[in-house]
Formats: sequence, structure tokens, C-alpha cells
Amino acid sequence: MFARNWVVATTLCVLMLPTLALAADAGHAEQKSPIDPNWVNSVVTVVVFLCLLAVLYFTAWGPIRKSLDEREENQFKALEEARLAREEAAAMRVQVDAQMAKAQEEIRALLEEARRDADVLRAKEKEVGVREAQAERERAKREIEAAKDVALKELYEKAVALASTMSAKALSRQITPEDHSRFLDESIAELSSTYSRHA
Amino acid sequence: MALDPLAHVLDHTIHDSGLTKYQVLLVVAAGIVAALYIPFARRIANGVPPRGALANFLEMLLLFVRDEVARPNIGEGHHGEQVHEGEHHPSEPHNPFRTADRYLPFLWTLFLFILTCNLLGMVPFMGAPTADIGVTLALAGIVFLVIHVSSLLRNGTIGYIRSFIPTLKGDNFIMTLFLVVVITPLIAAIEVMGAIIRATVLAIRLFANLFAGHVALGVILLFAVAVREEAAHIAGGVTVATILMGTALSVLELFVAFLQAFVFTLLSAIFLGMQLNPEH
Repeated sequence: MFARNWVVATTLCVLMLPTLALAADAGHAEQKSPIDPNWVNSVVTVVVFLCLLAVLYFTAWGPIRKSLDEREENQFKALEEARLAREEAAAMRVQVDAQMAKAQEEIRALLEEARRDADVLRAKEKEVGVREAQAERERAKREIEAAKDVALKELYEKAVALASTMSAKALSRQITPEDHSRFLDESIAELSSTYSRHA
Repeated sequence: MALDPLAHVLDHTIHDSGLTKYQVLLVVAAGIVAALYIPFARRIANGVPPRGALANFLEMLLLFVRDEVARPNIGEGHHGEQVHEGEHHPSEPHNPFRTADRYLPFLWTLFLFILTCNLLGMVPFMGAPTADIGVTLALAGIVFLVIHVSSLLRNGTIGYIRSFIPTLKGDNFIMTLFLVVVITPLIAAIEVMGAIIRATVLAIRLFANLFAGHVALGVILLFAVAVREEAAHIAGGVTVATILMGTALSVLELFVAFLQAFVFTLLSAIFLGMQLNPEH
């Protein structure tokens, strides 16, 4: 606190000195040659300059140089770290690229395998379907055969019944050749209609 | 204002105090530099970057002197300095600009002090102490002493003296004798005179630029005063032209203030580098 007050007071005193310089303008000007050196000014210059150099050397230049050096060192360190990080990132990128390429290869192989499996499955399914369709067809054929057999059986039974009926009719009256022919026609017609109904 | 353009440039005594205007302004310049840089040093301590326009400007000036003036011209220049055997401590980080950095406080103080003195000349009713030959001669004298004392300490007395004496060899004995007896002393004398002349020229260049600039500015501004007495009917036009030219010249002077501070510091660094490394 004391040091700060001292600095402020000194600064104010120094900054008030221009009033003296202004006062010099009010005074009598000493006309002299501009190339005639005022040696007192030279001595004052040397004293002021050396005092300024001494004050700044101990209060400003030391800390400023240290600070600039530290900052420069930190900047170089940061640059070095950035370079290392960049190299590390590049190495990791190469690694990631390799892994990505490997993954792509694996994906391609998996897709190929899946496609092959799908083809196999499709073929298998197709084969099963064909087999099942074949079996279905066989079963339908068998059912049709069975139905046909049943129909034929019924047909024979009907024919037998019809023949019995015809026999009964023939026995009940005299059958002429014309009647015989007519009975046959009727029986055939009845048999046809029965068959067509069953079909 | 008197109609003498030199009146505002030449130094004045402050009544009977014995102090002159420039002596006061020298202290003001030193005070301004200290008032700006001591708090700045505290603010950026421990490697904290500067915040704000002023702090960045102050640091920019320091970095400019370090990177563009000191380091390229002192030591081994752009290639960095060769650290002498035993000079480099193993625990310290290697700094190729050790010698240049050693002179940084001097060059920073020199640059900022001259710059502030130059800029004081841009403030109305003040003046640039560097427009006084006595001031610039003193500054050049300090530079001369720093250069030659540093060379003496670095190269030793023999090395320092030998830096003024060239090594000449002829094709034969007679020619070598002639060169050694006649030419070498002449060149050595020229070298010694050159060292003194270089410092003197430093002082004269700074003084002449600042003095001439302020005299020219005074002459132009005095047109506006003189025209009222000599030709009042054109006073308005001349006054406007005077103000415009005065403004333009002031901008130029502002540039010259920075330029001359830079040139003085740059030449000091170059001469220092030449004297520290005479073999180059």
C-alpha cells in the first residue's frame, strides 16, 4: 500500500513538472546558437538516463524479461505439445483407417456369407415347397383315386341295381327285340346321367 | 508567439531558477516511461499476457526492439550467438541470443527515453529535449561508453585494441613491411576516428531531424501570424493553408519521432554488435 502511494505521489510530482517547462516559456529566452551544446543539459541527460535505467532495471525490465521468456517458453511448449498431439492424431487416424478397412472387409464378408446363406435357404425352401406341392399333388391324386373308386363302386352298385330293375321288368312282360333295345338305351341314358351327376 | 521560428525550439531558463525547460522535460520523459512500464511489469508478471490496447502497445514496443533491433544485430546476428565455453550453464535452457538479451534493458531504456523525449515535442507549449545537441551528445556519449566498455570486458584489452588494427599481408616482404608500417597505422587511426565519428553522427542525426522538424513547423505556423501584419486581405486563406500544412507536418513529425528513436537504437545495436564481434 505504502509502495503504491509512493509510486502515485512520485508520478504526480513528475507529471507536474511540465508546469515548470511552461514557466520557462514565460521567462526570458536565451538566444544562442542551436549547435552550441549546453553541457549542463548533457549532464542532466546522463544523470536522468542512468537513474531511469537503474529504476527500470530493478523494477520493470527484470520482471518483464522473465515474463516474456516464460511466455515464450510456454508458447514453444504448447507448439511442441500441439505437434506431438498432431502426430499422435495422425497415427491414430492411420490406425482407425486400418480398422475401418478391416471392418469394411468383415462387413463385405458377412454380407457375402448372408447372401450365400440366403441363397441356400431359398433353394432349401424351394425344394421343401416343391416337395410339399408334390406331396399335396400326390395326396390329391390319391383322394381323387379314392373318390373315383367310390364313384365307380357306386356306379357298379347302381348298374347292378339297374340291371336288377331291368331283369325284374323283363320278367314281368314279354320282351320284344325292340323292347330289349329300348331298355338298353334307357339304361345307358340313366347310367350316363348318374355318372355325370357324380362327376 | 514571437516571429522567430527558433524561439520555441531553443532551450529557455525558468526565470532565475537555473533550471532549463529541457532539463525539466528530460525528467518528465523519464517519469512518463517509469510511470508506464513499472505498473506494466507488475501486470504481466509470471508470464500473464497483456490485456488492453495500452498494455499491448507497450509490449509491442519492447518486442520490436528485442526482435528487430537487438537480436538480429548483436551477437551472431540472424544466425544466433555462439555461446562461449563455460558461459552456458547446463541447468539453464539454451538461449541463442544471450548476449543480445543482456543489452536489452539498455536498449529498451534508450529507445523509450528518446521516443518519449521526441513525442514531448508534439505536445503544444512543450518541446523535444532531443532537439538540443547537448542532450543528444550525452545520449551518444552513453552509447559510445557502453559499446567500448562492453567490448573491453568481452574481448580484453588486447583484443579491444586489436579490433582497431587490421591484419594486412603483402605478396612479399617489402610490401608486407610497407603495409604494416604505413598503412596499418593509418587504418587504425581511421578506425578510431570512425568509432568517435559514428557516435557523433548518432547525436547529430537525432538532433538535426528533431530540430529541423520543429523549426519547419514553427516557420509554417508563423505564416499565419506574419500574414496578418503584412497582407491582411489574404490572411484567411493563408491561415487555412497554414493549419492544413501544420497538421500534415505534425503527422510527419509524429512519424519522425518514432523513426528517429528507432534509428538511434538500431545504429547503437549495430555498432555494439560490430564492436563485440570485431572479426566480423
